[in-house]
Amino acid sequence: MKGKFIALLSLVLILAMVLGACSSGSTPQSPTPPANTPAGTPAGTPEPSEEPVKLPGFKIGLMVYTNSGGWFDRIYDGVKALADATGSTLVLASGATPDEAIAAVENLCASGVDGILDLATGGVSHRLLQICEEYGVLFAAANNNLLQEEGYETFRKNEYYVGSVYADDKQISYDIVSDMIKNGAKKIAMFGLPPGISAAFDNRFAGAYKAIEDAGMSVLTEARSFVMPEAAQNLLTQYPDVDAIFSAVDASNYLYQPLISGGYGGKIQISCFDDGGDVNVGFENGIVSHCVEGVNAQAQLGYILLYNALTGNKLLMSDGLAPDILIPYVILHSANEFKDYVDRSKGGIYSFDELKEFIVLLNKDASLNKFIELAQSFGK
Amino acid sequence: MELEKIKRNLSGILPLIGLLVVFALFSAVGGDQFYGARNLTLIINQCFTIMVVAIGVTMVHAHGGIDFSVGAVLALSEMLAAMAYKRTGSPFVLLFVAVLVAVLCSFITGIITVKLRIPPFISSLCMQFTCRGIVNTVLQSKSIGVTELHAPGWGVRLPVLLLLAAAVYVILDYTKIGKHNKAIGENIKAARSSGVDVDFYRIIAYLISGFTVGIAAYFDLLRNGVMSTNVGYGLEMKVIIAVVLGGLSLSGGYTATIKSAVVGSLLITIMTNGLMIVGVPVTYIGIIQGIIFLLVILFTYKRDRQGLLPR
Repeated sequence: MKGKFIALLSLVLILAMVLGACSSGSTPQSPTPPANTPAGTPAGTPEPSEEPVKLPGFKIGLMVYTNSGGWFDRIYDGVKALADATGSTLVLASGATPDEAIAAVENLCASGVDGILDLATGGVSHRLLQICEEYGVLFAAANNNLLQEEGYETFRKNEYYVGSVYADDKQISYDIVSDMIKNGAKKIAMFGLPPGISAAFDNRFAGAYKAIEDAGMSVLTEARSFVMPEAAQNLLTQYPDVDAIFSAVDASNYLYQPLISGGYGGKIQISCFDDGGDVNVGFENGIVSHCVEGVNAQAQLGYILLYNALTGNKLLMSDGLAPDILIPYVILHSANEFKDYVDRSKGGIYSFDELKEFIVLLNKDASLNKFIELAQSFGK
Repeated sequence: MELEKIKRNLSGILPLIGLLVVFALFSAVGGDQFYGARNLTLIINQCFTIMVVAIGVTMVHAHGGIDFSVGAVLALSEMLAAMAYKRTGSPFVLLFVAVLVAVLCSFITGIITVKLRIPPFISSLCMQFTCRGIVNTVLQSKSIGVTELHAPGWGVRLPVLLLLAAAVYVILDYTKIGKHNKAIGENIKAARSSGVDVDFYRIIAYLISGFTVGIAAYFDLLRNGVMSTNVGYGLEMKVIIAVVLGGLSLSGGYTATIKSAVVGSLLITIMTNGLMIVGVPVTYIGIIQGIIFLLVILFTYKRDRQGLLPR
C-alpha cells in the first residue's frame, strides 16, 4: 500500500514537472537587447530642459566569489552606491567553480535580472554569455581577464556582452616582487591556493616567479594549499629565515598572527591581495609591505558599462565591439595609506558625481576614450 | 505497534513530502517564474550532475560504503576525456574515455577498500587526493576547451537520467547485486556467513558508481564547455547531502533506494534556485538551507542506527 502511495506521489510530481516543462508552446525567442544608439544621441533623451533626467532603474545581479569580508564590503559599497543613485536594485550571487558560476547566472537570469556584473566567471564566460543571451540579460565582467578565456574571440562579439574591466595580475606581482628584492629580500617564499583555482591567482604567481627569475634568484619554497593556516605554519617552521612572502591571496587570516608571534615584525616583507581582514595590524607590526587593492574600482566601472548598455547606450570601441578595459591596481605601503583607501571606499572609491559624466543619459557626450583614461589613471 | 508502523511508513515518505511542500511553497511565492517551463528545465539541468552521481553512489552507500572521491574522479575523467577529444575530434571518444577513466578509478578505490581492508573513508580520500594531484600536475593553470560541442538539452538529459535511474533501481531492488549490497549494509557478518561473496559485490557497487560518474563527467564537460582544475570541487559533499536528505542512511542497508538520490538532489537544487527566485539574499540562503537540512535529518534519520558514518 505504502509502495503504491509513494509511486503515485512520485508519478504526480514527475508528471507535474514534465507538463509544466512542456506547457509553453514554443521555445521563447531570445529577447533583443536594448537598441544601441551612438553615445552622442542617447535613446529617449528628453528635449533640453531644466528638469533633471530621471534615470531608469534596473534589477542587476552582482556575482562575486565570496559575499563576506572587508574586501567584498568595499566592492558592494561602491556598486550599491551607484545602484542607489541610478534607481536600481542589486541581487547578490556567488560562484567559485565553473558549475557554481553557471548555476548562479542561470538562477540570476531566472529571478528576472536585467543585467549581470560578474566578478567570478569561473573561466566559463562563453557559457555564461550563452545563458544570458537565452534570457536576454546583459553581461559585464570585472576582476577577470577574459582575454585569456576559452572562446573569447566568439563571445566578445555577442551583443549581450557589454565589456569588462580588469587588471594585470602578472605585472603587479612582478612589480611587487621586484620591489621586495630591491628592498633586500633574498629568501622569498610563495603562498596561496593550489594552481588552477583561478586564472588571477595563477597569473600572480607567474609574475612573481618571473621577477625572481629575472633577478637571477630562485624561490625559497612554495606553500600552496587549501589548508592555508597549516601551510603558513609549515612554511615558518621549515623556513624560519624567510625574509619575504609573496602571498597571492589575503594574508591577514593566515600569516599575521604566526609572524607577529614569531617576532618577524620589521624583518619580513609580505604582500596581500583582496584582503578582507585587518591589514592595519599587519602594517603596524611591520609585517605587511605591499597591499594590493582596486577591485572595487573595477566593479564600479563595470557597473557604468552595464548601466549604459541597459539604457540602450552601450559604450563601444571603434570596431563596434565591447571594450575590455585594463586598469592598474593600487599598491598600499602603510597603515595610513590602507586606512585612507578604506575610508575613501565607503560609498564607493569613485563617487557618483565622478562617474555620472560617463552615463550617456546624463551626458550625451559621454566618451569611451575618456572613460578608459579615467580607468587607466586609477591610483595615480 | 500500529503507531510504530505508521511512524515507519511516514519516515519513508517524509523526504518526498518535504520535496512537494518545498516545491509548492516556491510555486506559491515565486509564481510562474518558478514553476514555468524555463525554470523547471533549468532545475533539471542544474541537478543533473548531482543526481546522476548520487544514483550511482547509492549502490556504494547500500553496503555501508562511502565515496569522497567522486568530485576528483569527475575532474580526472573530464580532463582525460577532453584531451582525448582534442586528439581525435570524436565526441564518442570523449564519452568513452570519460566513462572508462571513472570506472577504472572507482574500481581501484573498490579494490583498495575491499581487498586491502582500508576503510572506505580513507581509501576514497586517497583517491581524491591522487586524482586532484594528477589534474593539477597535468593541467597546471591551463584549461581545455570544448566549446565547439553543444551541451545536450533536457531532451537528451531527461531520457538519460530516467534510463540510469531505472537501471540502478532494477539492479538495487531486483537483482542479486542490489540485494546482496543491502544485506552487506545491514549486517556484513551475517551476509558473509550466509555465503554472500561480500568482496565481489562491494566491488561491483563501486564499478556501477564509477559508470555513473563517467556519464556525469561527459555531460558536465559539455555543459561547462571548459575543463579546468577547479571542476568538481565540493561535489562529494553535495552528493552525500543529497542522498541523506533523500532519506538514505549512510550506514547502508535497506534504506538505500533510488528515491533518496532523486528526491535529495531535486530538493537541494530546488531550494537554491527557489530561494534566489523569491529574492532571499544570498547571504541568508546558507542559513536557511542549513536549518531545513537539519529539520529533514531530524525527521528522517533513523537514530537507532549506530552512528552517522559508515563502517
